[in-house]
Order: sequence, then structure tokens, then C-alpha cells
Amino acid sequence: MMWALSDTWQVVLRDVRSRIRMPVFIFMNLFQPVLWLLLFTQIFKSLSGSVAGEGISYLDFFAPGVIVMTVLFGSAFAGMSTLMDMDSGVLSKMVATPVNRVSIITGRVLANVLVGLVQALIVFVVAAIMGVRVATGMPGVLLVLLLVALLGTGFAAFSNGLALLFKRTETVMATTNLLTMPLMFMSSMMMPSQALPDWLNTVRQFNPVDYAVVGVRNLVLYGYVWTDLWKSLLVLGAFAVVMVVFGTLMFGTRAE
Amino acid sequence: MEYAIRTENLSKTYGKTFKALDSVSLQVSRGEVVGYVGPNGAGKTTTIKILTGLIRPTSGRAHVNDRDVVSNPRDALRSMGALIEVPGVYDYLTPHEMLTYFGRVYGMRRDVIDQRIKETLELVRLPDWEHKKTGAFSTGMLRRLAIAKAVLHRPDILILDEPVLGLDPKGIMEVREMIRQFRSEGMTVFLSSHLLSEVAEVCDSVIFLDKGKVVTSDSVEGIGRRVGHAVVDARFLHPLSPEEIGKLKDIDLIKGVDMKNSTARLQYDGTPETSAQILRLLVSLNLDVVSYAAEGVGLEEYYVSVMSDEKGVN
Ligand SMILES: Nc1ncnc2c1ncn2[C@@H]1O[C@H](COP(=O)(O)OP(=O)(O)OP(=O)(O)O)[C@@H](O)[C@H]1O
Ligand SMILES: [Mg+2]
Repeated sequence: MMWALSDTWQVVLRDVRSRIRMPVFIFMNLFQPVLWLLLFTQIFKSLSGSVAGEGISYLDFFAPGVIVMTVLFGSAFAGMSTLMDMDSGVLSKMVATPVNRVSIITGRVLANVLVGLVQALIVFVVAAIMGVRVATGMPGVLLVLLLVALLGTGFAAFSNGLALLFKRTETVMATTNLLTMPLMFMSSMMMPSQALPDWLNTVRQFNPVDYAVVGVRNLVLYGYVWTDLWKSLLVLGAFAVVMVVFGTLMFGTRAE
Repeated sequence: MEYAIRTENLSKTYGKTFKALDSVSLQVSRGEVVGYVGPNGAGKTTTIKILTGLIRPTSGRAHVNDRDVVSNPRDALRSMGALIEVPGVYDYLTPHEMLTYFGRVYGMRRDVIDQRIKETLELVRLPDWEHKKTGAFSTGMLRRLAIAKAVLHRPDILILDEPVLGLDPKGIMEVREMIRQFRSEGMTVFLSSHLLSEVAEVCDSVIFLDKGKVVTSDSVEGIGRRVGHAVVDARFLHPLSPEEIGKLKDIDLIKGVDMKNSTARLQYDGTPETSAQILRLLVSLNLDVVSYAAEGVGLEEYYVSVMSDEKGVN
């Protein structure tokens, strides 16, 4: 079992290194969330106070959502790089070694999550500069990172599975685009649950993104809301496990 | 541990019915250099992908160093180095970075890796490129880097899919030299190729594959004997006069002469002894022999005679 861990770690190192070599992508992924943060908080400024309760600005309300969005964007397209590596033969070279396939796929997913966490931290810093304060302090920040890491793991693994299932860049691109936007809007990312129609409140119970948003927002705005936090951790943890299993299965059978 | 590579009834079906490999059984002895030859679409790459754990066979078994590549890929792949058709490098990484990853996954220590990187890059003539990004590499350099990757962990079996594909003559010669060196170090080499002269030059034996089936498997000389003759190209300083050609034809050991400019393609029985004797006779006839090289050893003729006519759609 030790070797599986060390293999995974080698894949993570290699993947992170190759990502660092292309910093453009890391910043390109950040561009949208930061833009949303700057723009939306201006557009909806007048909603401050009325949206999430007394004394809470729209910026405070929206910043947690943007942190989740950053990780979502960063991981939902993870499969694209796997497809690129398949086309270029990089993946074949990795598979034709004693490293087992589970380590390759989990290593790639973990590397993706690590980069996503760094991006989330950058958004955190931008939000802090704009005046957002975390109600739960440093431990809260760590819990936020844990929540988004689970979400990122799930989506990165899902995207990899999808990539291996379809094996076509266009299809994966289209499917991902088709999924990410609704997942964001069908959550309480932009509006509090009280302001959403009933049907949306039902739908969002099946949306992992919403569990991340609720968990992160509580930690940033209100403090430890344990029942919500446990639920978020549990759901996101299960989501991550199921998706890693899906990704691994796809990689085991379809990475040819 | 009799065979380095052994497959039993290996089959791979794509879709419902298309048999890319149809019950392929082959053996490669330890220390042998074996050429794997066949037309486009014969199933060479498919075989190599199975041997390197990239795809699973539909049925049958494949063993490398007596380890089953399907049920025990980790051990099977450990003592094997592979070069698979496509380049497969990130152009923004350096050879050092790329090779370090592979060294680590083969469980090598960091200092050993650094030393082996130096050695292998020296071997493939890229010593000054260790820390340069591979984006600027030519096809030949990328291929040599891929070979360095394949031998980094000192495997005793080397599997090469079309190692000289797309290389210029100098590149082909360099790769040929490397393969010779690997052989002299006792490595087993299994290489697929379209270049029969290449195979004749470096291989001990040949496996012919057509439409997913093994057609023949024999030593290079054995193939020469099957055709009834092998050929050797003798190049002379000047084009030969008709009398000189007549003298060539009079030599018993030479079964046929085919002149082209100043080169004579001589047919003989394919044994090294005969070849040596012919050379001695040529010199004794006062002919100025510039070069004397076994060409194809009848492989081409044999190839044409055994391969099916329609070469598939590929
Ligand atoms: N993933 C795949 N799906 C369907 N058919 C495939 C697949 N891979 C290979 N084939 C088919 O299997 C056959 C054997 O292919 P393979 O690549 O092994 O041939 P090859 O001997 O390496 O040919 P070449 O000399 O052109 O490299 C071909 O007809 C090819 O079209
Ligand atoms: Mg091929």
C-alpha cells in the first residue's frame, strides 16, 4: 500500500510541476471569479442589507460563492488536460510504467485540487482586501479549504471520468459547459435560499455545489453552524468518493 | 525464466468482430534482438500496447519475464523499458524533469537518478540538453530522449515500436548503433519496424505478422534459407566491365548477380561462411571492393511472398 501512496505522490509532483510551468492557465482560471467578485458586488450593491440580513453586504454574501466557483471552474475542466495528454502520448508513457492506474488518476485529481486550493486562497485574499472578514478565523479558513477540496476532488474526478468516457474534447467541453452554469445558478450562490423559489430550493438539495456554498458561507459569515457543516462535509465527502470511483473505473477500462 | 517475452493465443478484438490480433503466440529468448514486421494495420502496435500494459487483450496471455502483464502489471513492467510510437513529452519540461519523474516511479534513489540521467543522455547524444525545454527538440532528438527514458531504469527488456520512424538517415544510423550497444550489454530487444534492411542489420530473428496472425517466426538467416538465397550488396570503386561481371557470375557460390551502377547485388545461400568466402574471392579477382553489406538478406522477397496482396485499408 505504501508504494501506491508514493506513486500517487510522484504523479502529483509531476502534475503540479507541469502546471506551474504554465502559470497562464492558473491565472486565466482566476480571471473570471475575480471579475465576478468585483463586478457583481458593484451591480448588486443596493441589495446589501436586504439580501442576507442586517449588516451583511452583498460582497460578504457573495464572496463565499466566488470561492466555491473558483474551485468549480478549476476542477470541472480537469478532464481536458487528461485528453490532451492522451492525444500527445504523455498518458501512454505514464501508464506503461509500474505505476498503477488508480495512482495516476488520483494523482492527477489531487494535483488539480492543490492548484484549485491555491486559487481559492488568492480569491480569499482579494476578498479580504475588499473588506470581507471570516467569522470563524483561521480554523474556519482551513475548514473552507477542506470543503472546497472535497468539491474539487469530486468534480475533477467526474471530469476525468467524462473525458475517458467520451474521449472527445468537444463533447467534454460542451457537457461541462452545459453542467457548470446550471449548477451555479441552481444553488444559493447568488441569492439566499429565502429569496429562491420553492422548486429551486428542492433542486439545490441534490446539488453538491450548494452544499459547498452553504458550508463556506456559514463559516465566513456566521460562524460554526454544526448541523449544516456536518451535512456539507458528509455530502461532499460522499460525492468525492463516488466520483473518484467513477473516474478510476473509467480510467481502468477506457484509457487505451 | 526461459523466455523474456512470451504470449499465448493473444487476441484483441475491436468492436464486435474486428480482430486486430488473432491468437498470436510468440516467444523472444533472453538476450535476443527480434524484429516484429508486418504491413500497416497488421497489429504490431496492438501487440506492443498489450505487452506494455496500455490495453488489455480480449483473450490469451502475455508474459514478460514470466510475469503476466494483465494480472501482475507492476512486476511485469518493472524490468521493461518501452518506446511507444508517439513522442509523449510536455514541451515546457526539460529532459531532466521528465526523466526524474520516471526514475522516481521506478523506485530509483535521487542520486542514482541524477547519475543515470547523465549516463543515458550521454548515450543518446543529448548531454548538453539536460536542462533545456523539449519544445525546441527535433523529431530525432525527441526519439533519442524517448529511448533514454526507456533505458533509464536499466531494464533487461526493451520494447520499441517503430524506433526509426520519421528519422533521417543519420538518425536511423544512430538508433541502430544504440540498439547494437543494448544487445552487446545483454539486453533483450523487441522492435517493430517497416524497414526490412534495418531488421536485417540489427536483428537476430524476425517475426512476420499479417492481419493479426503470426505468419513466420525464424532467425534472419533462416529466412534467407527459406527464400533459397540471401543477398549481399558489393559496391566497387568503378562500374564493372562485362568481363568482370562474367567472372562474378562464374563464381559457384554466387547464385545471381544484379548490377546497378557500381553496385552488385549478389545472391547466395545466406550463411555467414559463404558471405565471407565470396568477399575473399572478390578481392582475389582484383576487384576494388568499396563496401560489402548484407542487404535485407532476402527479407524483402520473403515479405512480398508471404504477405497477403491487399494490404488492408490503412
Ligand atoms: N482503438 C482502436 N479501435 C478500433 N480499431 C483499432 C484500434 N486500434 C487499432 N485498431 C485497428 O487494429 C488494427 C491493428 O492496428 P495496429 O496499430 O496494431 O497496426 P500496426 O501493425 O501497428 O500498423 P502500422 O504499421 O500502421 O503502425 C488496425 O486495423 C487498426 O485500424
Ligand atoms: Mg503501429
